Amino acid sequence: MKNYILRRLLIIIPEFIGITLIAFFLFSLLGDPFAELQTNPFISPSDIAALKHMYGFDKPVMLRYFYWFFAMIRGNFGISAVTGESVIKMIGRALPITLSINIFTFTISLFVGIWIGFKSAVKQYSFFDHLFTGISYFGIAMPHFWFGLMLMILFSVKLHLLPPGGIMTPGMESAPLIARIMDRAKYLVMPIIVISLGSIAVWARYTRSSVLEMLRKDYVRTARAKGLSERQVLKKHVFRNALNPIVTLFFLSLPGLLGGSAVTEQVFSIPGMGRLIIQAVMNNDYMVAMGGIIMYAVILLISLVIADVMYALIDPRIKYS
Amino acid sequence: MTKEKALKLNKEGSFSYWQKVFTRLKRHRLAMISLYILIAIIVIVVFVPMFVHIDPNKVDLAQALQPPSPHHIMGTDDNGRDEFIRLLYGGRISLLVGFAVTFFSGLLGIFVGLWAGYKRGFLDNLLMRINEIMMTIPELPLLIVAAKMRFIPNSVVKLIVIMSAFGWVGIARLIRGETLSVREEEYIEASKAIGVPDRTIVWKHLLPNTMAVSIVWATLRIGRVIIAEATLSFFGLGVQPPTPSWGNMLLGAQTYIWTSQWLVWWPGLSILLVTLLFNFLGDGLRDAMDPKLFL
Repeated sequence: MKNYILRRLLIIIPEFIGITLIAFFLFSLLGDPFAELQTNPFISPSDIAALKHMYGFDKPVMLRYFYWFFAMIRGNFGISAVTGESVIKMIGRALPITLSINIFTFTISLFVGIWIGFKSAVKQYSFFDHLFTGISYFGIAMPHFWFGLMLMILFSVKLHLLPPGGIMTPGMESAPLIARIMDRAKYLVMPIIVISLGSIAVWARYTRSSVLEMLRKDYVRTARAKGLSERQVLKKHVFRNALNPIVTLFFLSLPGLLGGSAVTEQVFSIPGMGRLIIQAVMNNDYMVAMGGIIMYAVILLISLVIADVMYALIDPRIKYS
Repeated sequence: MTKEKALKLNKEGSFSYWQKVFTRLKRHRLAMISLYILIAIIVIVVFVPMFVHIDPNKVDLAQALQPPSPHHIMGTDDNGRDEFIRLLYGGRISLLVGFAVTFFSGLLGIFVGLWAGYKRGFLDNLLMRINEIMMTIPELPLLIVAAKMRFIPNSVVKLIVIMSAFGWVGIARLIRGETLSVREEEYIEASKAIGVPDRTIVWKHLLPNTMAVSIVWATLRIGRVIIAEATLSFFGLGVQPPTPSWGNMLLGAQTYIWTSQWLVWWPGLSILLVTLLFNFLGDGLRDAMDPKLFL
C-alpha cells in the first residue's frame, strides 16, 4: 500500500511537467505578443526591441519555458500583460467568488443528486424515476449558456425579480452585512440554478446506475433471504457499496470547485476563476491564462491521486500492484 | 428493413448479434421515435434549402428584428435576415460539425485504443499519460487557444480539425479497456497459436468486439459536439459569420434578451432537441447492444 501511494505520487512529477509544456507551448504558438506594436507608427523598432529584451522575448522559446517554469515553481506566476497586476493577486481576487458559488452548488447537487439517483434506482420505472430521468436528460442536453439566457428572460425581463448579471448592486459596498448578503444572494440565484442543474443530473445518473448494479448482486439477495428488513438491506448493503464509484467521482469533481464554470460566469458577468482564465485567453494575457490553468491542473492532479488512494482504501478488492 | 427480414435465422440456425440488436432496438419506443425525428430533421436541413431559394445571408435592414409573423415565421435577426432560413442552413453546419468531429475523433480514438490495448508496452503507457494530462487541463481554454490560431482559413474546417484533435482521448481509453479484456479470451490465444498475423487479429476479432462501445459512444458524442460548437461560437470563436450555425446564431443573443427573445429561443431549442434525441437514441442503442455499458 505504501509503495502504491508513493508510486502514485511520483507519477505526478512527469504529468505536471507535461501540463506545463502543453500550456506553455500552446500559448507560444499563438504568436508574437508584440506583433500589434509593430504596426503602430508611433513606436520605433528599437523601442520594441527594448521591450522584447525587458520581457525576455528576445530569447529562444525553450529558454523562456525554463525561466517561466523555475519562476513558477518558486511561486512567481508573473504579471498580467493587460493590467500589470501580479497573477497571484488576480487569482486571489477571483478565487473566493468562484469558491463561494461552487461550494454551495457542489454541496446541494451532491446531496440532491445522490438522493434522486438512489430513489429512482430503488423505484425503477416508477413515476418518480421517469420524471427525474427526464429532467436529467434536459440537464445534460441543454447548453449551459442558453439555459442561463432563458432564465434571464424569465426572471429579469419578464418578472423583473432578479438582476441579469454582475455580483453587486452599485452603492452596496458600505451597506450592513445582512443587506450585503441579501444583495449578493439576488445575483447568485440564477448562476446557482444553472450550475446545479447540470451537476445534479450527472450525480443522479451516476448514482442510479451504480445502485441498480448493486441491487442485482447476489449478496443483496442473500441479505434479503436471511430476513433483513428492506431498509437495512438498502442502507447497509446496497447504498454502502454503491458509494464506491461515487467517491471517485467526488474527488474527480473537486477541482471543479476552483475552476469555476467559465461559461456560466461569462454569461452572468461574474468575475470568478473561469471568467478570469477565459478573458485572459481571449486578450492574449498569457501569464494569467497559464497561471490559472496550471493552478487548476495541479489541484486536479492531487485530487486524482487522492481519488485513487481513497478508492483502494474503500474497496479492498482493488489490488495495488 | 421489414419485420420478416429482421427475424430470419442465419446459416447456423440462430439470430446473429446485429439481428438481435435490431429487434431489441425496435422494441425501445423512445429510441425509435428519436431516430425517426432525427432522420426527418436531417432530411429537412439537407434538402429543403435546395428547393427554397432564399439567401440566408441576405441583409435587409428595413426588416431588422421583426417578430415572428406569417411572412417570417420565426422572425428576423438584427440584419433583417430570415431566422427560419438561417436555422435550416445553420442546422446543416451544426450537424456537419457534429458528425464530422465524431467520425474523425472516433476513427483516431478507435485506432489508438485498439493498438494500445493489444500491443501494451510503450504506446499504451504513452496513451494513458496523454489521457491523464488531457483530463487535467480544462478543455475550454485549450479549445479557445486553438480556435484563435489562424492556420486554416475556413472556420468550419478549422473547428472540425481542432475538436477532432482534442476529442479522441476519451474513446481511445474506452476502446483500450474493452480491448484489454477481449485480448485475454481463448480464441485470441488460439489465433495467435495458429499464426494469424496481428493485423488480422485486430481487424477480425478486436474491432468487431469494440463496435458496440464505439456506436453508443458516437451517438452520445454528437450531441456534446454540437453543444461544444455552440459554446465556442458563443465566445465568437466557432463558425465565423455570416455562415450561420446554431451556435453563432446565439452570438450576441444576450443583447436581445430584452427586446427580441425569439432570437434566443430558436437556435437554443434546436440544439436542445437534437442533443436530446441523440441521447435517447444512444441510450436505446446501449440497452439493445450491451446494457452493462457505462457511458
